[in-house]
Order: sequence, then C-alpha cells, then structure tokens
Amino acid sequence: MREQVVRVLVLVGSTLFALSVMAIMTGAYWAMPVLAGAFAQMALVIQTQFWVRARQLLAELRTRVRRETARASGQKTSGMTTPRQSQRKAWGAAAVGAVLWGADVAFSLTGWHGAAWAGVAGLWLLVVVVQLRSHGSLRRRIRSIARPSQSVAESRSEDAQLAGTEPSAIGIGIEDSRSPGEPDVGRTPAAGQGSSGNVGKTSRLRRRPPQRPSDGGNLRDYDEVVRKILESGVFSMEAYRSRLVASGADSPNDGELISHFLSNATDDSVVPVDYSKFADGVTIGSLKETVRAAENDHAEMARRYEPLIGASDVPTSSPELDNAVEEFSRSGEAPLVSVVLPTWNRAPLLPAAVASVQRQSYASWELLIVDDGSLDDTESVVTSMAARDERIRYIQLPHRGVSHARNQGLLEARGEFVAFLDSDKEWDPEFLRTMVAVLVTQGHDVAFAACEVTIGGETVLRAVAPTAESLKIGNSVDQTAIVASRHAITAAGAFDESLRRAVDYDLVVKLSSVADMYQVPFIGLRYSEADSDPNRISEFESKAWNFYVADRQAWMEFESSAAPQLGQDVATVILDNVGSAGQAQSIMDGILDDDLPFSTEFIIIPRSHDVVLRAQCRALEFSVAEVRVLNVGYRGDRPSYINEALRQARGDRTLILDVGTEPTLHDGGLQELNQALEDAAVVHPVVLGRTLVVEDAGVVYPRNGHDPVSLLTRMPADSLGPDQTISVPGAPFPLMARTRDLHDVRGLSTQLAGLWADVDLSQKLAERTNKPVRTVAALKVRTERPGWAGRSNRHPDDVRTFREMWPTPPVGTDQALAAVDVDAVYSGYTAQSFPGDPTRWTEAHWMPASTIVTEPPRAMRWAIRTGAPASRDAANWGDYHYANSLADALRRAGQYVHVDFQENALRGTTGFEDVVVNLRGLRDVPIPGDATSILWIISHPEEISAKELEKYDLRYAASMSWARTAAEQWGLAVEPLLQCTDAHRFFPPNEQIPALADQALMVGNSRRQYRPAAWHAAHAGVPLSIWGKDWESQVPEEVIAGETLPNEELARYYSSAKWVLNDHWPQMRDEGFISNRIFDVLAAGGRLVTDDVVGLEEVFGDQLAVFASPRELLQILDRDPEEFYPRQVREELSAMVREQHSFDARARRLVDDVRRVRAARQTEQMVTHDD
Amino acid sequence: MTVEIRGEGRCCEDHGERMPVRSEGNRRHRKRGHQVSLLVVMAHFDIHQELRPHTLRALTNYSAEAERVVVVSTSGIDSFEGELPTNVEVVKRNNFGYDFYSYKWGLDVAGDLGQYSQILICNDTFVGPTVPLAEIIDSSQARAVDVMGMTYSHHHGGHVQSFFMLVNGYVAGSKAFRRFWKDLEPVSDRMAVIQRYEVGFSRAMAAAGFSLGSYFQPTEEEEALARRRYRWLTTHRLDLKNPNKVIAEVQKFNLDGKSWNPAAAYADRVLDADRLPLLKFDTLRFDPYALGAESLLEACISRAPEQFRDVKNFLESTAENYPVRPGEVNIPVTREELRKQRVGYLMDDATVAGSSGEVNYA
Repeated sequence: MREQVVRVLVLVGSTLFALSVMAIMTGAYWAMPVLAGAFAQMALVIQTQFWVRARQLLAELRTRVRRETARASGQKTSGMTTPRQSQRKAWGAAAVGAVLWGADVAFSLTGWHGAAWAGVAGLWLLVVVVQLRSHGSLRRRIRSIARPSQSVAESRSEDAQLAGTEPSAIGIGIEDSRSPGEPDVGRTPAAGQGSSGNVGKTSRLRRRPPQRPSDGGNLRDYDEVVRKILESGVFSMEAYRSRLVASGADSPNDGELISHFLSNATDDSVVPVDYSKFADGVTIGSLKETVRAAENDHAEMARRYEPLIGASDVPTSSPELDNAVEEFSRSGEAPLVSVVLPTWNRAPLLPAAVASVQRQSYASWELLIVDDGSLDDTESVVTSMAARDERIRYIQLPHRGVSHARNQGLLEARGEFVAFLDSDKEWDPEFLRTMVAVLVTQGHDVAFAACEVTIGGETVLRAVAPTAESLKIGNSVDQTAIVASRHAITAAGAFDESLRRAVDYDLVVKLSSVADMYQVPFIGLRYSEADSDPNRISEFESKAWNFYVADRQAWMEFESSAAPQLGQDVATVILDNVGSAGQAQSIMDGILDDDLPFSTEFIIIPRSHDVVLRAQCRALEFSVAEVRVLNVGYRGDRPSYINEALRQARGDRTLILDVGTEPTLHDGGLQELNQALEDAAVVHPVVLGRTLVVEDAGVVYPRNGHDPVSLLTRMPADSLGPDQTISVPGAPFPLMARTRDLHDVRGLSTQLAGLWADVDLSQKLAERTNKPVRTVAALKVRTERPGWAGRSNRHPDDVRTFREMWPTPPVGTDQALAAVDVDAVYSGYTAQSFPGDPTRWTEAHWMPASTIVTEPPRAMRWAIRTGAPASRDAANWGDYHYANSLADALRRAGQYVHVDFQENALRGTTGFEDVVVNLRGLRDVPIPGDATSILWIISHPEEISAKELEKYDLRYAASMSWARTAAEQWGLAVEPLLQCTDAHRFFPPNEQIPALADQALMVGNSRRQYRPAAWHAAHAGVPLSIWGKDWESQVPEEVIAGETLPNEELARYYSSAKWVLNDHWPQMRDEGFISNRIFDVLAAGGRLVTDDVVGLEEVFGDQLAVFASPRELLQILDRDPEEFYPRQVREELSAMVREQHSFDARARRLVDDVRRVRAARQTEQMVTHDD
Repeated sequence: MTVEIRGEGRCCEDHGERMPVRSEGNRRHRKRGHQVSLLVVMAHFDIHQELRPHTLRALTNYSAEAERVVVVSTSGIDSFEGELPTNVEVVKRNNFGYDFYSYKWGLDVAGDLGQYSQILICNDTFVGPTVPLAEIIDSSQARAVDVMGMTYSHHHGGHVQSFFMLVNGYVAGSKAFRRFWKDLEPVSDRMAVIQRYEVGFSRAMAAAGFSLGSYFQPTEEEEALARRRYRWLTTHRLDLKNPNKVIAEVQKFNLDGKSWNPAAAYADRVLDADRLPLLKFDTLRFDPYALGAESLLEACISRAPEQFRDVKNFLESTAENYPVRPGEVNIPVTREELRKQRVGYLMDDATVAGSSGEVNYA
C-alpha cells in the first residue's frame, strides 16, 4: 500500500514537472502559478501524511510507555492517546492548501496572474508553517514520552503520601488481590477461634493488578536535593551570618541565605550548621554522598521488591526445558505425583479443576480431594468422580480450615512429588509433565511455573523467581504452580494451621529455606480472580496476615541469633512516620534538650520511600546524636517498620513516637516518663490536641463494650494532676517500654495493618509483664492530627482482628476512671457495626464521679430492634408482633423494654439501653457501644454471615440444626432458641366453632407464592378455610374465608378446626427454623398438619402429623385427626408448649444469659493490677 | 384419595404404608461387586385411559432391570391389555403440573432415593426403548456421567431432554436432587415447565457439580446433518403471526450453534442399529422438522414391527386429541424436495447405507 502511494506521488510529481517544462517551453505562463501551486499542494499532502504517521507512531509509543508505567504503579489506562482531532487538524492544513490552489487555478484562468502568484506564495508559506509547527509538536511529544508522565508523577507522590498511612498493594506481590495459594476453602475458624468482624472491602486495592513501585530513585539534580536538605534544618543561618560577618561580606535576607551560600559553594565547602546539633565538617560533598546513599537505598529496596511486581513478558521455553521434557519422556520414568486439592462448599467448581488434572498429559498422579466439612454436594460429586477414575481419592474431614485439610492431604499422599491445586483453578495440560521432567532430570527438589492471572480485566503474569530479600517482604510464587518432592515438603513442615491467610506465603518461605525454588519458564496455570465468594479467604480475612508472615519470619531470625546488647544507660527513640527531616530534628532537639540521665539513639522511619525525604533524613546522621534511618519499603505497613526498628534498638528502653501527629513535647517530663516505667509495663504521656485539650490519657473500655475509647478526650489539660500517674487498660502512641519486653512480645502485632496497633502493643506488654499500662501526666505531648494507629477508615479489617485478639478487653477501666475522678457515659456504636465509619464508633462523655449509677440496680433497659417500619404497615410484620410479645414477657420478668421500628435503629438515644436485641429477619442493626448485644435469628438465615455473628455478645438461632451448623462451620457459639408462643393468648379455649369441625384451616398470607399445604388441600377438594392475603391466584375462591382473623380469635379457630395446615418457606424448612405457628396451634390444642421442617422430631418426637410430600399431606387429611391427636395428646402438647416454648420461658432465658454475661464482665473489671 | 394400582391388577387405597415390593424377574441385585438397584419413575397419561401396548412393552422392559417401577398416571388406566409385572406399581393423581409433577409424585412415592444406585425418570411419549434397558443403563455413556439423558439438547444453554433421564446413585442421594424435586411447584404452562424444570433440572444438577451427558452420541456427520435439518425447519415452519412467511424470514436463527431438538433432528437414528433407541410420538404425529415422519414410521414398522406395529393405530385413535399446536405449522414438502436436499429422514449416507435404501419406506 505504501509503495503504491509512493508510486502515485512520483507519478504525480513527474507529471507536474513535465507540465511545467512544457508550460515554459510553450510560453504558457498562465499555467505556471497553477503548476507551482500544485507542487506546493503536493508537498503539503506529503508533509501532512508524514507528520500524521509520525504522530501516530509516537502516540502508540507513548501509549505503550504509559501503560507499562501505569501498570507498574497500579493504574489503569485504556485506549490510544492519539486524538482523532489532532489528525483532523493536520489534514485541515492540506484542505486549506487545496482551497488556495483552487483559487490559484481560478485566478490563473481568469487572468488574475498577480493574485495567482500570491496564492502560490501563500501555499508555500503554508508548507513552511506546517513544517515548523509539526516539527515543534513532535519534539514536544518525544520529550513527553522521555520523561515520566504527569499522571504517573502524581500517582508517585500519592503513593508516597499513602505509604505513610496505608498498606498499599505495592509489593505484596502475589497477595495483591487474593492469596493465590489459598483456595476457596474458606477461613480457618479452625482453631475454633471465632472469626469475625465486618471486613470493609478494600476493593480499590483488591482489584488492582500488581503494582510496580514508581521509579524516582534516580535524582538528576543533586544540587536541588542538597538545597532541600539544607532547608530541612541542616543549614544554620546564624552560623552563616557569623561567617559572612567574619569575612566582611554583606549579609542577604534570610530567605536568600541558602542561595547565597550555594552560589559560591563547591563540594569541599563546609556547610554552616548549628554545632550544638551537628558534627563539624559537614560539606556539600558529604551531603551529596548522602543523597547518593539515599539513591542506593532506594535502588536496593526496588531490587528487593522487583520479584513481587510480576512480569510482562511471557516466559519462552528454553532448549534446556525442551530437552528435559524430551529426556524425561524418553526415560519412561513416571514417578507418582500426589495432587492435594482442599475444598469447602465449592462442588460446582470441582469438575473443572478435576478435569484439568485428568487432562494432564502426564498420567501418573493421584488426586486427593480433601473435603473440609462441606455442606453442599461435594461428597456426592467427588465420590462419583472417584468411582469413574481410581486415581481420585476423597478424604472427608470435619471443618477445620484449609491448612488442616492440606495437612491431612499430605499425610495421605503417596507420591514422590506433591502439587497443590485449588478448586477454582485449572492447570495447563502439560503442567505436571513439564514440572516433573525438570525435577527428575535436573535434580531439583522444588520447582514452580509461571501463572497468568486476570484481575479486573487485566492480565498479570506472575513469573518472577523470588529472592531471599523479596521473600522477607511478600510472596511471588503461586502455591498451585509449585511441584515439590515430598521430602522437601516434609522438611519444610506442615501448613501452619494458625494462619488465617497467607498460608501460601508461609509455605514458600519454608520451602525456600530447605531447597532452591527453581523457576520453570512455562505458564502452568491461568485463572481469573473474578470470584467474589464472601467465604473466600481473600474476601474474608485481612490482608495484613501477609505482613504478619513476613514479620514473624523476621522475628524468628532475630531470635535465632544472639540477643543484642542493650545499653542500660541508653534509650532508643523511634521516630516513626517522619514526613520531613525538620520535624524529626525538632523532636530530637526537644528530647536532647531535656536533661536526661541517659544517652539517646534515634531510629528514624521515613513516612515513605521517597528518595528526597530519605536523603533529608539521612542527613540527620550528621547530627551529634546517634541517628539511624530505616530503609522503608513501598507498602506502608508501619507496624512492620517499627518492628524492624525495634530489632535494631540498642537502648534498654524504647520510646515510640508517631511523628505524623506532629508531636511537640511540652515542659520536659521525659525523665518522669522514664521513671514511671520502673514499675510499669509501658508508659504513655498525656496527649493534647491542637487546642491543648486532652486528646487521650490512655484508653478505657465501656463496661459492656469492646472498643477502646480515649480517656478524658476533650477534657482540660489539667484534668490530671501535674505529677499524676494513673493505670489504664491500654494506651496509644507515644509509648515507652523496656526494649527487652518489646522483643518478648515481638513488637507490634502485624496482623493489624494500623488501627489500634499501639493500643494492642501496650495491652500485650501489660499482659506479658503483669504490670500496668501507665499514663504519666508529667509529660504532655501536643499533637496536630491523629496518628496512623488511631481511629480511621483506612483499615476496616483491623476492627475485626482487634476484637478477635481482645475478645475480653483488659481490666482497669474502673480504676482509671476512679483515679481521675470521672465517670463515663458512652454513646455511639461498636466499631464492628460500622467498620468503615469511625465517626459512629463508641465515644465517651465524662461526668464528675458518682453522679451516675454505674450499673442499674435490677431492671435492665432493653431495646428490641425489628425490621418493621414506623407506620401502619408494622401490623403486617410478623416480627413486630413477635417483638411485642417478647417485650411483654420481658416486662413480666421485671425489665424495661422498648420495641424499635426499623428507622430507629440509629436513634441518638440508643446508648440509653443496657441490652439490645436484634430480632434478625432481613436486616442487620448496629450495636451500641456499651450495651450487651443479642442476636436472635428467627428467619432468613441465608442473610447471616460469620462477620455479623461475631459482633454480638449472645447469639441465638430459632433452629437447632442451624445453630449447630453455624458453630461447626464458623467456629462461633450459637445457641438454639426456638420461636415460641404467647401462652397468654394461645391455650385451649372453652368454646369451639362448630362450623370448623369438618374443615381444614390455613391462616397466613400467600404472598402470591405457592404454599404446598393450602394449594394441594384446596385442589384436592379437601374442605378448607383459608384466612389471609393474596390467595386469589393460588386457590379456588370458595376456600378463601377472609383476609384477617382477629388475633384474639386465633386460638379458638386453631382449636376448632379439623386440621390446621402449616408449611414453611423451603429454606426455613431445610434450615430447621420452626415457625411460631406450630407453637401457637399446639398451645391452642389444635390438630396440626405441618411439613417436615428439620428438627421437629427433636422437639416434639413423633407426636405430630407431618407430611414430606403433597401425597403424604393428602393421605393425612384423608384420615381421622383423632388417630394423631386424641384429646390427651393435645392436652399434653399444649401444656408442654406453654411451659417450655412460651415468650415467658424465652424471656427468662434471655434475662439469665444477659445477667451472666454482664456479671462476668463485672467480675473481670474488678480484677485489678497490683499497683 | 390416592389410588395405587399395583402389578397383577391389585388395587389398594394408599395410606402411606408401602407394600413390600420384591422383584422375581431378571433384576440384578449385585453387579460389579456392589449393590445395584434401579428405580424407574414413569409419568403416564392416556387420553382414553388405556394402557397402550407400547407402554406395556416399555414397562416390561423397565421392570426386567428395575427394583421398583412407579408409574404415576394423571389419567388413570382402566383397561389392561396385558398384565403388569409384579414390581410395577401405578399411582394415580390429579392432572396438573405436566409430567414433571408426575416425576415428583413418583419420587415421593419411592421415598428414600439414596438407596438406589440408579433412577430412571421417563414418560410415555415415545416408542421404546427399542433395546433392553440394561444396554442403556450399563452403557459406557451411563458410566461416564452423573445425569444421562437419552438425548442432550444444546438449546437453552444445554440440557438433557426430560422424556428419558437416568441419574446415578450419587445424584440420587444428593441434596441438590432431593431439593429440586421436593420444592417442585405445580406449573400449568408448558413453556414454563420446559424452562423451569426441564432446563432447570439440568442446570440444578450442573450447578451442584454433577456431569451431564446423553446416551445417543451423534457423530460429526450427524451433527452436520442435524444442522441442515434445522435450517430446513426454519425455511419450512410458518410464522405464527405472519402465516405467509416462514420463520427464517421473520427472525434470525443461529445456524452455527446446535439449537436443534435432537429428538426430532436425529429421530431416524432409531433405525441406525438402535443408536437412538426410541422415537417420540411428537415426531411421528407432527413431523416438526418437516422431514418425512410418515415415511419414517413406515420404515420403522417395516424394520421393527414388534416395536412399532401398534403405533399407527395409537396415533390415529388419538389424533383428534392432539391437534397441531399453534406456531408449529410447516409448509408441506414433497419427498422429491427432501431427496434433493438430502435432509429427509433416512436419506443421508449413513442411514441409506445402513438400510436397504429408500425402498423400505418409499
């Protein structure tokens, strides 16, 4: 095509040239401007075509560069960056040229030769202008490609900002969106530790493909960085002025001093510094060395992260690999490979996963499908497969978590090699052959293939071998891409069943410690991460477990080496989250100015990996104090950074400060803080806010709640006496503790990405040392903003993790309140109710002590939450009537009770109640921060999640089977508490309704749905009366007796009818939620016919008329009711139901349980530390 | 209210107690080292309340292999042309919910489904099976999948056709199978039954993790033929709203997929060594693909008289009760046209070669 265009252009050019010659020869001068214009127009077209093509190529190049860069930084780009508009503009010039040439022709033909030549000149001018503009445009475009794009630069600075506060996905490598090695097998409430909490979805992070840390480690302009270092506090104006005065030079303004100094400075120039703070002889050259060192640090960190980022190039098979496969195939060897596939309730996905194993070109395998207690048809599906393929083995276990399942699979494995597969993944057909060939022929123990993962429509290739350094940060190997010898697996040890997530990471770390991880250049599996099953580990458990695995490994290495020598007269100050060196220096000055009886070493943890910030911080190493700067990574997991600093600490006590809060130490007091540590586990100053009122004086806990609440928030700064020291249950940063104790508790809990990690640390220290957490009023720290471990919506997963770590809050609240002579009134809701909205979390208001009674004397205040709306429609809600009956029963039990409509779940006075009961139908409700919370699931069990259950103090389900199953599957205690009847309304009446004596009765609404009992009775011609709404489309009209039956008449109707029909919605029936109508009918002495709801026999034995099918229903209705319900049986059933299954019985149970729980908390509160 | 008619003409009121059923025929109780027991549930409806010979043959065939055969009749059977085998029980129910509700009713009668190693669910809308049932239930196809239809339709996302479905014991004992039948609602609309239950059954079983397949395995050539036949249908089926147009002129059909009805498109495979060992009455009655069903029936009678000899009478005696359904009217075609296009029944190479040519049905 291009050649044809060239040919045409050459032809046109030649023709024009020939015509010009002819015009000259023939004297046809009128034609000259036309031909000259034609030449110009042709040049214009060629020129436009050239530039447009060049722009296209550059745009493609820029798009590719942007995509790669954006991919590396986790952004999405789409489409080309070549605007069509730009093309139109380019051709616009050619169009203008064509018009000019047309005019030119017209002028020539009409004899306006002057105008014609002017047109020619205009045309050539146009050519020149287009040439110049296009040239400039292209140069700009080339430059824009060469330098990082604006958006990426912005994202880089955003990354840097985020890094200070948020664990981004950067560098988590394979754990970026889910744990690849962790299958669908669900959580591991295994150890029976209740899992919990509403994990606010970090969907923004979860859906991002692996990110490449933004480049930026290469600084072109050292002088500029040096200037920034000088500006950050190294440069002393006074010292420089003195120098200028001494030399007799004029002194410029303050703002120009640094520029003045730098204008004449060389590398050997000594920087004027405050010699009380900095060492002598800091030169520009030494600062440049610092910058270079910072660059190297950055490069080193980038190198460590590199394997975690993924790859963009598809691994190409090597001759070595081909030879290995060929040699292995020739050898005829076929060692057995055991494939361990754990699964939990994912039967629909299994066939594809199993088929991918059966499709393997390598046939010597056994597939061990380990069923982790599935409730679906996994057993049937797998045993059927196993019957057809004897290489498949089915191992059934009670639900104990994926790691336990894998461990059991390994115990059963007989193969020489072991591989792991998940039920939602499929291998390439050549996977096993290739991997085994490499392992056998090349003598490796562990090999892994690449895998291709589609996340959010983008494909990420995980094909980079981990390094020892990268494994200290995260995992880059997909567990399902590993094939290892069984002895290597055995040597690495079993799967850690205590890990909730990142089990694959842990395995890879262990495997790499016993064998080389050999990477096979081959894509072994492809999968999509589109699955959003809420029970998937990656959906359910916190991503911070990856940090925990890395940190735990680091602690193990630390503990396996000789314990560090801790200087007895040295204190370590960890300045964390340092956003500017000046800030750090100011704090260092404040501490050093205090006349301390010990020396101080400072460990600075920059807020981000930003290389300029790092250079500035490293310049502080010129300080007279001992300063070290930690090299931080890309993902901002601050607890891990602090733990690294703790491992480096060499003082025998350590003070941890979050510099991000911009703390200012007031009035000395560090010495007092240090002294208070003598008989405390950890000490904490009083933290003031910007307006100098108390931000916190430690934390306390609501008497019946679980969330830490800052003590004395918003109280005047002198609420504590100037020298007062009080014991508190816990405290946030700043914290000072003995370094050895900090090592013993392994520092901050890295399962927490941020929230309350400091409070947890203080509580761990107190628990470990059996000494109190103390707040020391002698030291006050003013802060400008909350710290990264404080309340925020950045780490909603931490809410649940913290609750799991501290199911019972530590003691000491009452003592703390007494010490400051205040009482607390709590409001708001538990953090688990709104994990992503800290503004709704529990808060405290402070009252002078003894103005409120801490525990209501007897009667408690109950709020029963219902889903019923605050309107007349509430009467149509069964739950509402149920709630009122329960309320009446509770009142009879001496309690104060209020029934809340749906809209009032968030009423501001909700802190008033002692007990909140959520009668769970279709809606969840938030839980007040200081109430005993009860969840009673009476319907719609399918709406319930483990996370919701975890929020409550007491959990009940109106089904025995569901309660058992929930406990087994989720590891949470759920008590069966069946629905019940109002014994004051339902009892055998004295009078009967004769008209019903030969009729079946159905009371209830149809909701225009098929209800088998009424439908079949009606269509079979059974004499029937139906009371309820929306039956018209379901049954013949003649059987519909009316819409509503007065409540007070119900018992008589139930008692009088020949049969009373009942059925359940299928899910309720299968889950064993026995409807209250069963209790009502039996209490009234009625003759009940009901469907076979699960668990009925457990309650009533075989005394009831139960149908399992329409046929059985009709058979029962055809019989004499007295066969099932002679008078004596009815009387016994009625008495039993009214005694054991009445609202009064349920109310007694609830009151007893609540008192027990509250008493237990009271007892715990009364336990005090020996101060 | 519910009446059961058991083998040997015994009738009894059904009060839920199950009469002991013991097979004395050629039933297999032990095979391949494990317990094998087959339950057959058959939906029956005869407008004249008769037990037709083809139905009796099918029941005899089933009973020879089955532990228990439950026939659920929505019409009743007032006359007997032959004695029912002893392990066949007939249950009558009111006529609603089509054959699927009869399936449910029969499975409810059977009780604990998990005790069976195979369950055959079928109706009486076809002639056959023309081979002993053992050949079907012991076939490699039956062993290869969990749910096997006689045919597998790719229409509606793929499903086994519900006139003949065999499930293995793993499916029979599964929660998904139990739940599907337990919550089946009586539906009175034929298309709703197809969508919710015929297609729904396959979907439910696949969603539970079970594999689906069919006894009849068409070759590539047969699929190509079926595609041609389907195209033929679209150019010969009159549109319901525009009777002067064929449906191909009114709507667009995906002729690249496998949207045909295999029971109709492969109907003549009944004469290809019984590879598809049954023939639907719908095919014979309506010739839905306009492929020469009449000739096919003649050929069947000629080649397999013991199976087909009564079929013509049955079709004729019930013809007035089965008018052509609206929207299923085809342009009349001649045999010459069919021969020219080589789409008609028994006109492709395989069946021509496998038969004695067209002379058998011409």
